[in-house]
Amino acid sequence: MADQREDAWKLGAGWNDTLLWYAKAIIALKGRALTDRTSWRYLAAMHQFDQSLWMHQGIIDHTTALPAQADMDVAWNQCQHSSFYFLPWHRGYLARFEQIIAATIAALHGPTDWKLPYWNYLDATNPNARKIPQAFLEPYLPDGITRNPLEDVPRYGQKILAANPQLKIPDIDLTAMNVTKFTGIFSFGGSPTDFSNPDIGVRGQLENVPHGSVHILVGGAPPADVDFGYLSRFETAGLDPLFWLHHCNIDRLWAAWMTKPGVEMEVGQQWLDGPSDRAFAVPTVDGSGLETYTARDTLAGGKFYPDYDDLHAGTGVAALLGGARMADIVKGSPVMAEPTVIGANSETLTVGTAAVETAVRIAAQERTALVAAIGRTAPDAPADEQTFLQLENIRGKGVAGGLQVYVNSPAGADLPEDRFAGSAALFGLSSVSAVDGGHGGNGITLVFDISDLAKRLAAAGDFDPAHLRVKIVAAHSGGDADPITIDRVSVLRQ
Amino acid sequence: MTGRLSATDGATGHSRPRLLLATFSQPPFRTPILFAAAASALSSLFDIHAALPLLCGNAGGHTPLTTIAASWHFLIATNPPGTVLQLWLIMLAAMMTPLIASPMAYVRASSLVARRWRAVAIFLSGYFGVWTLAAVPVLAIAFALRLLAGGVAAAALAACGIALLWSACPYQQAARNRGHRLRRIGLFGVQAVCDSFLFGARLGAWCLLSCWAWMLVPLFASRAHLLAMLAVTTILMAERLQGPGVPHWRIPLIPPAVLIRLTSRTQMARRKA
Repeated sequence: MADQREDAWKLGAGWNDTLLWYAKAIIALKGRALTDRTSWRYLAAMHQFDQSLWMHQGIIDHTTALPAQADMDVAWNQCQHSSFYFLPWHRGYLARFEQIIAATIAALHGPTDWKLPYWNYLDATNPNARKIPQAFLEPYLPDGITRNPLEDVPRYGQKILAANPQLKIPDIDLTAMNVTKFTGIFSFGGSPTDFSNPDIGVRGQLENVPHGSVHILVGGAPPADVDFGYLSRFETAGLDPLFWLHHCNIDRLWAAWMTKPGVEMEVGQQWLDGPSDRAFAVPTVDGSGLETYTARDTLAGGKFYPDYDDLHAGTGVAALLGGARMADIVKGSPVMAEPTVIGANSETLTVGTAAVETAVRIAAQERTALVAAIGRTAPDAPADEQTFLQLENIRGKGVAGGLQVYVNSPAGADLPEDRFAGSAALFGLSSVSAVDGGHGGNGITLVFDISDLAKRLAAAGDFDPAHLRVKIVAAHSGGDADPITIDRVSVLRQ
Repeated sequence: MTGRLSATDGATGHSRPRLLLATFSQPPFRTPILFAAAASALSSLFDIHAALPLLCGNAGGHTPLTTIAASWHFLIATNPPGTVLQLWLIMLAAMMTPLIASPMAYVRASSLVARRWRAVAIFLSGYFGVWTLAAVPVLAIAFALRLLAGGVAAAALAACGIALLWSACPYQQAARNRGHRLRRIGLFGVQAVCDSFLFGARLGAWCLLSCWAWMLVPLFASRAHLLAMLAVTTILMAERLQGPGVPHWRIPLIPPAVLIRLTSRTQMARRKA
């Protein structure tokens, strides 16, 4: 085994040492009490915990002892989403998980240099890339007797990643890698937040696709699938061993993005050393206590900085010539300019199983500037002028689902590809919509870059600077009985 | 600025209190905190507490309860409603404005650039409108507490006890959770006005429900009212910054991370023993 994180598909077909020892370590961790900070369930609860859901799913029962309340308050329910802490928090979480697994493997007399592999699903050079690695599909370990913990979890979705039209989730891609800013409402990493429980947060593009899509596509969601798998919920995602390989790849995509010339990385003190109200916590490797970390610890030279064997395959980042490994990045200003709202619809939308269309009115004083940016003079428009479509506070009781957005699509059922504005797998929808949960009940806010779409509409003569027609189609477990709501659809410009 | 970002970048790591102070010195907190400081100075300048002898002073301290209770005129005469309302509004401005910095920023960002300040002003009128109406029941509780406790110090202690109990209670967490909920803000015309006002009013109502008990405390602080206001604002801000969570009984005031450190030390001490 190498002392680097490697592509799971390149470790050898079927069972290989890395995945076999991973499985054995999970069996050991599953045998530990929930109060043990290095137990499988404790580590999963750090992402999110819901006592009634865990009991309902048989993960715990009435006799299961929970850790002390203060321990749960600090270490559990920490998952950072819709925030620029999404990537650094998960990097630290992943790193300590890897160390705990490695220590367990060493204690089982296995290799001492075990590293978490990644699932490189977008590697175009590997015909198997989109398939769940085979070891996660085998019912038994190679001994033919022991139940395989890599497979022994509820997973109802795809075994080979692809678009899921029934869930309105398009195929995954690497579009997010082209976003140049790390921080902001339209960014690679998520919107800035001062504190760990943001009232107002916008999903980063990487968090949306491929991260959220893979969660739902593999975990599954009605109406496409019979039920939700562990990967489909914040509260159970960490209980699926595949979660860690998926997030390892998301983390690798961040590492690869950092090598792209010209990307604007966040360097503000709030991000480096925040959040202001608390430190993120992980158990010590032996579980004797808790240890804190910040984003700073996840950067080069930090205790949780990872080492990957390859930052090019499946990342969309070309290998640099002359052996250079890391390009210079632009360290973005701590206070980055944000787009301003120039138009909005007039009502909260309710989206069940049918498509919903809404008119977005653009403020009169902003129309001239909008036309200048994307209208008839579009080819001459300044390159840095961008137009965004924002879906604010998407809430729903349904656990998850998918959603697609079109602008100025023709009347009827047709949804032409050239009018497509964006999509999202609504990972965590019910969690972030719950008022009495840890996420504030404000749902999911999404921002799509529609600059090119607006230019295409203008070129096609289908652009009215006073109004945009926005059509939303969704598929989610709430259906018509519990539709999702969208507080506002707005247009922003920067 | 270009280069490779590393763990040692951006100077050395900031301690959390310093980071918190830095956060408060930047938007969206800076302006509300400056506004709150001005309101505090105003309250001190006019020495409003001195004009409220029954609540803050010792004038009623030795008066028999039956005498006070029998005389509504005595209450009105010693605590003129206009002065009480003035005190209440200044206290609110000083204590609550920093707490609603993020919702204010949300209203601002949700509005057209040309209408941002108007939207914020309408939001504030909804928020403080609810609190102004709440002056009647909250001050009635304060008067009742003052009369029942007998003295100012006893009333202040009782208020602290009630506030601690309320902070520990899951219902307070549930109210706080609802104070984090956002609502749509219309962009145009009457809708923009109504939405900003209703958002402010709804937030005010949930804030009132979660903070009412702590707001009693500074009412009984005469000589140290500024200190009491600062202490209560700090507590309320800490509660707000803890964010939403699952309602359950909790130990108030002490952050869970500190509790863990305390329990770890106790366990270590036991092991050594």
